[in-house]
Amino acid sequence: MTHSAARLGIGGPVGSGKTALIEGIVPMLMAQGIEVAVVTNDLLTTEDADRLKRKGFLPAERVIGVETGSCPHTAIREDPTMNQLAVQDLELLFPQLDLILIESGGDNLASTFSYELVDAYMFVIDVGAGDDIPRKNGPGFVQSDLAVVNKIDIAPYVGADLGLMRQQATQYRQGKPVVYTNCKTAEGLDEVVAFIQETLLFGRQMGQPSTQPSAQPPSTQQTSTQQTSTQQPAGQQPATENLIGSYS
Amino acid sequence: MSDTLDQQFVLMQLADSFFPSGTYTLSHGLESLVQSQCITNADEVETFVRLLLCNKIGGTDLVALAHAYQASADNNLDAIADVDARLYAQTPIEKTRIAQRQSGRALLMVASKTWPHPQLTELSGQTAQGQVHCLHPVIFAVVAQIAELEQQAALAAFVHGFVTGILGAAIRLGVIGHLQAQQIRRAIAPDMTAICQEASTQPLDDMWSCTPLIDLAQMRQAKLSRRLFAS
Ligand SMILES: Nc1nc2c(ncn2[C@@H]2O[C@H](COP(=O)(O)OP(=O)(O)OP(=O)(O)O)[C@@H](O)[C@H]2O)c(=O)[nH]1
Ligand SMILES: [Mg+2]
Repeated sequence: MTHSAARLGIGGPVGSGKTALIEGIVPMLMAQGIEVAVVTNDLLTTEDADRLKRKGFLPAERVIGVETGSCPHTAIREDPTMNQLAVQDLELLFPQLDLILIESGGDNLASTFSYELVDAYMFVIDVGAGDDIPRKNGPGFVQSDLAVVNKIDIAPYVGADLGLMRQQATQYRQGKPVVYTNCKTAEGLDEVVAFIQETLLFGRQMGQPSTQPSAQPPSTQQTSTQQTSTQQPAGQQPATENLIGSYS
Repeated sequence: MSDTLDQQFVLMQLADSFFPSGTYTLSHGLESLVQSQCITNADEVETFVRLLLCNKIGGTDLVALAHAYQASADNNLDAIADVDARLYAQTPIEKTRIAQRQSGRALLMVASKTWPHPQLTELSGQTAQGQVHCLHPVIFAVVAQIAELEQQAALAAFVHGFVTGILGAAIRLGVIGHLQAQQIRRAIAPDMTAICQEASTQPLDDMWSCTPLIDLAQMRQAKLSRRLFAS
């Protein structure tokens, strides 16, 4: 198998800020040397795909729009094959990719991603859609690897109690991470990027030109001797060392 | 397969719209025809499906399927590639080619994990290398053969999946309701039977289709600014 990119799903109701989040974090990820591409599942138009292409921070070929026949949740769960093909195509075209983001079409609180499609997924909700969303116990919000409570800036205008949302989000997600963001000012987006780094990209080699010869760490020789001499029990240890050595 | 009940269950698994191969993203030109108000009611949907079956699918996809099935049974990969190339030549509309290829690839991906077989491994390699087009009816034939369906059952499963897909699309496009979908499905059953029976007797050289208005609609699909479906 060739190197395959990490896959991160982004779900959440219509208009909650999924595309805005992508627009915010992609430049931050790129600044850290991470190679990114995006698959969008627009419901009715190719607007999100076009919007990301127009922004210009990603080459247009790194954004693929996938039609879902008005079945957004099917495309990320029951039959994610069209998204899988888009991911495969991106990996073939850009073998250097570290991360592929898959934006689901806006759907309801019950929509979850198949882990046969993504390695992890975030679920974005809009403060303006009601401060009772966390306690509705929707599987998308509760089960996602990262919950993103977006548009915190509008809380005062819609009478949303952010304190209550914080308390109930923590309670219903049973300790799984939640971040609070404002995509207009990038507030909280560093936490989203940190989550991606820790959960999906830890140990990957970033920001190196792909032509760079893989410098053999001097420890390799030593490591393999160690491996053979100490036999099986320590087998894991040197292998990990070797990995970190070549990736740092 | 000796046990026919076993075979029937395989048939159901392959024909079921639950089987993941992305066909729910296809409308085969229907979306474009609905948007331009050429199709506005159940009768017109029925005519559309019947035309597609009798003037296109029966004469192309099913003939290719029957021959690919035989080639797979003979373990003749060159012959499979030949059928694939000929069907490609019979499919001049780019959007339709892409759709055929995408659902072929999706089916191959899922089938390779469900019914692992050297022919599927070989076809995956050839697809990645661009040596075959990996069109849906051809891959469907090989998968059905490997899963030990009879040829007629393979044809029936394909046609059933195709019709279910279009009727589902028609419901989501808002042009028919769930009851009308079942009535249409029942009304066209004789056509489904007829094209399955005919296809297995046709030589590859005699593939044909004649659906000019639907072809035009399929071409227009790519240009729709608001669309739900890939075809
Ligand atoms: N005030 C405020 N507006 C935001 C924020 N994030 C997004 N928006 C706005 O919310 C609207 C919807 O944002 P999108 O990013 O398009 O939402 P989406 O989830 O991608 O929507 P769909 O793809 O259609 O489901 C846009 O007008 C954004 O500018 C935020 O943090 N604060
Ligand atoms: Mg969006």
